Amino acid sequence: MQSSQHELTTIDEFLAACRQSSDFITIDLSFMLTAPTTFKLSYYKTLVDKAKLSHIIKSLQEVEPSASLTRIEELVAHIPIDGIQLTDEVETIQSGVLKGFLLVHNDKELHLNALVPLISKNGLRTSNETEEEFSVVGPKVGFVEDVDYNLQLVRLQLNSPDLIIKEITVGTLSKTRVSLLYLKEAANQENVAKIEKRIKSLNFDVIFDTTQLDQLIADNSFTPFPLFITTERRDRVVYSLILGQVAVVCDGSPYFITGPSNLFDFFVSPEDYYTPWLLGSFFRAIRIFGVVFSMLASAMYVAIITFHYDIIPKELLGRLVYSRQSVPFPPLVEALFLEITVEFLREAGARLPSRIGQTLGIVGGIILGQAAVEASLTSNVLIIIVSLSALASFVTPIYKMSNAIRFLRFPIIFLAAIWGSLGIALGVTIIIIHLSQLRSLGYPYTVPFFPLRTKDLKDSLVRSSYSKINSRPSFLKPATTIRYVPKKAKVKRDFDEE
Amino acid sequence: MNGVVSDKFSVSPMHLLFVMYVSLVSSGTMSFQHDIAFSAGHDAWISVIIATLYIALLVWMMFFILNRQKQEQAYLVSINNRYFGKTLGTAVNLILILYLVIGSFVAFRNYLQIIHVWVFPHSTTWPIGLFILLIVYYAISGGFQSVTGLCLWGTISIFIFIIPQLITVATRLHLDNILPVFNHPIAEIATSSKQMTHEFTRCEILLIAYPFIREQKKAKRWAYWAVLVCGLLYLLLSMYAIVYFSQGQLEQISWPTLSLFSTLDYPLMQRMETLLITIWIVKILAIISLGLWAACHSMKLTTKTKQRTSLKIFMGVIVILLYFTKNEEQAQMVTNLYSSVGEYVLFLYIPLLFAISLFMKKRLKEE
Repeated sequence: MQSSQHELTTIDEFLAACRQSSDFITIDLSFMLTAPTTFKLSYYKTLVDKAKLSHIIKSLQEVEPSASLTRIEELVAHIPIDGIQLTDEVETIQSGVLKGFLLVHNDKELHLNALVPLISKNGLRTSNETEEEFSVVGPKVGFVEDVDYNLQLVRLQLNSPDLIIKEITVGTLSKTRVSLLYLKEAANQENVAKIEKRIKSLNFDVIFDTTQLDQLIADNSFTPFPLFITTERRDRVVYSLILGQVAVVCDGSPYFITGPSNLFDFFVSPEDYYTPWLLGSFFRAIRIFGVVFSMLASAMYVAIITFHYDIIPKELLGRLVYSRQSVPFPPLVEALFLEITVEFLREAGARLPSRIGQTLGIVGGIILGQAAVEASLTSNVLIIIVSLSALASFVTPIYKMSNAIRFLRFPIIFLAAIWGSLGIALGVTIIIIHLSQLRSLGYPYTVPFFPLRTKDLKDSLVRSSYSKINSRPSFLKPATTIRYVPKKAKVKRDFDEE
Repeated sequence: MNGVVSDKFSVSPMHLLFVMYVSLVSSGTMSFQHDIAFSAGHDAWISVIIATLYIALLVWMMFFILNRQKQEQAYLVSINNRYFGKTLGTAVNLILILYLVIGSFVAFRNYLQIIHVWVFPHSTTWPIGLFILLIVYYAISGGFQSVTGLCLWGTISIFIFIIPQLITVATRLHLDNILPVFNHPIAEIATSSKQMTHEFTRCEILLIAYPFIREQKKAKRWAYWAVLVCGLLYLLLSMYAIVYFSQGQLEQISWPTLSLFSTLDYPLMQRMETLLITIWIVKILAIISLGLWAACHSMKLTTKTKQRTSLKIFMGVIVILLYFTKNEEQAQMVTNLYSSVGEYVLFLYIPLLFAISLFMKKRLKEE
C-alpha cells in the first residue's frame, strides 16, 4: 500500500514537520531551581484549549522552589490535569499532538515524553435539539458533532455496565474515532464481531459523517433502500440498543447508525411508544399507507388515464376528462413534469436557508401550481395527487427512507405509462423481489414478514401494549430474550363482580 | 451438493405453506370451473373435494417417500437415481425437468392469454411477456429464499384481495342452483375430478424443495395446511361459480372467476377483474419462478450444469415456445399436452415411487 505520508521515525523529524505550519508552537519553560533544566511545551495553538493551557503554565510557575524539577515525570506531577500519558512512541505522539494534546519534552530525555490532553471543543454546536426527527411527545434530545458528548448522552440513559463501547480508528487522513456501542445482555456477539470486522477492514481517507460509514459497511450498495437506521435521536438509539441492535457513531457526526435493521424499523417513530398502543398502531399504519400511496398514486393516475379509464366510475371520469381536456400532453409527460417540479422544490428547499425556504414553498407550491393549471399544462386533479403523494412521502420518520420512496416513484410511473396497472404491479413485484433479497448485516430485510416470524409481528405493523412487547425480537437472535417481566394479566372477571 | 442445505439458503418450515400453496394454485384458478362443469355440471364441487383429498393422499405419499431416504438424500433427483438406477434415473429426471419447464410455460402462456383477452385486446403481449421473464430471472437469481419470498407475497396479496370480494358477491348468489345434489353418475364426477387434478400438477415440487426446509419434522403440518387452504379456495370458487352462473353460462364462459369479479363495482372502482389480474401477476411470477427454480436446481443435481446457464437455456425454451404458440388453439394444445403428462405424474409416477419405497423398506427388513 502506498501511503501519501512518509513515515516519521523520530520525534525531531516529527517536530520539524510540524513547525512548517504557523500554528505549531513550542515554548521553553526554564526552572532555575536545583539544576538548570529547560522543558519544552509543543502544541498546535489551533487545537488546544487556551484557558487550560494558561492554567497549566500558571500552576507550574507557582511550584515551590524547593521541589526537584529535573525530569519530565516530576514536572508532570505538578500539572493539574487528568489523563496524562508518558510515552516514547512516535506514532502515539503524532496522533496525540494532532488531536490537541500538549507535548512536554526536553532535550535531555529523548525517550520519554508526556502528552497532556488539552483538546478544545470550540467551534462545535452545543445545542442538541433534534433537527431532523421531530416528535411532539417525548424527549427532544438529539446528538451533536462531538462523539464524547454523544456517548455521554447515551450512557446517562443506559445506566448499566452492560453498555459496552468499543473504539476503532478509521480513515488514513482523518483518523476518525468510530465508536461501536452494544448492550452485552442484549446484542448477539456475532453481530458485534461482524460490524467490527467490517469497520476495521475499511480503507478510506476521510470519514465526514456516519452516513458515509453506513454505505461503506452496508451489505449491498446497489439499492435505493437504506440498510441501517440513521438517527439523531437519543431515545431511538437507546431503544435499538435494548432490542439487541448495535449502534455505530463516528466523531464529528450527529448521527448514529443502528443495525441490523429491517424495512419496518423505518416506519417506527419513538413517538409510537409514548402514545397509547392503539394510537401508536394507528399512526404506524397511516405511515405505511402513506408510503404505499406516495409510491403508487401518480403512477395510478397515469395508468388510469392512459389505459383503464373504464375502472373508475362515470361521474369521476367526467371530472377527470373535464380537468384534462385542454392539457396538450400525454399523461406521462404531465405527471413527470409535476413530479420533477416537486423534486425541484424539495431539493431547493433543502439547500436554502430556512427563511428563504418558506418563501420558496409559497412561490413553488401555490403560485406555480395555480399557474400550471391555468396555463393548461397539467390538470388540477393531478396537482392534488402529486402534492398529496409528496406529502405522504415525508411521513416516514427516517429521511433516507423517504428519499428511496421518492426515487422509486419514477420507474413505476414509466412502467404505468407502458403497461398500465400491469406495469405498476410488475414494478411493485420487482421491488418485492429486491426487498426479499436484501440483507442488513446478513439478516433478511423484510423480516418479520419474510421470513415469517409470527412472534415478532406484534411490534411491526402494529405496536402492541407494553405487556406484550416485553421480549426482544427473535430475528435478531439476541443474547437474552426477555426485556422485562410484565405484570401478570388480570383474571377475567364477569360483569359486576369483584 | 450433498447434505441438507445450509441455513443461509434454507427457509423455516412455515414457508412450506406458501411454497406448496403456490405450486398447487396455478393460473387455472381463473378458469377451472368451466372445465369441471362440463362433465359434472352443478355437482362439480364434489369433484373438487375428491381431487383435493387425492392431493392430500399424494402429499402423504411424498412425505412417506422422503422419510424413507437418508436425510441428506431426501430429494427428487437422488430418489430417482436410487430407485431406477443411474441411466433410467437420469432419463426420468430430465423428463421431469422438461415437465417443470413446460409447467412454467403453461402458467405463463395462460396468463398472457388472460391479459390479451381482458386487459389489452388490441396490442401484442410479447413485450410484457419478455419483461415478466426478466423479472423471473431476477427472482430466481436470488435463490430459493428469494423465490419463497415471492411465493409468500403472492399468497398474501391474493388472499387480502379475494376474500372481501367473495363476501361482497355473497349477496347475489342463487343458492338453489346447487340442488339437486348428487345428480350426476359417478363416472361423470370421476371425469370431472380427473379434470380437477390438472390444477395440482405441480405438487411434485415438494420433493425438490424439501431439502431447503429447516426442521423438516415440523414441515409436514404446513404442507397439509397448504392443501387444505387450496382445497377450500377451489371449493369456494367452484361453488360460487355454480351458484352464480347457470349451467349454460358456465359452459360458455372461459374464465368464470374473472366474469364473476367483473360484475362487482364499488364507489371508487369498477371492473374489479382488472385489479384481480393486476394483483394476480405476483402469484403468476411466483409460479413461474418456483417451477423454473425447481427445474434449474434439479438440472444442477442431475447433470452438474450451473443454474445460471440452465436458467438461461430454459428461458430460451420458453421464449421459443411463446413464439410458436401464437394463437389460443396452439396454447391450448400445449396446455392439454402438459395436463396429460401431469396425469401420468399424479396417477402413475408418484404412486410408483411410493410403492417402490414400500418395497424397499421390506427388503431392508429381510436383510
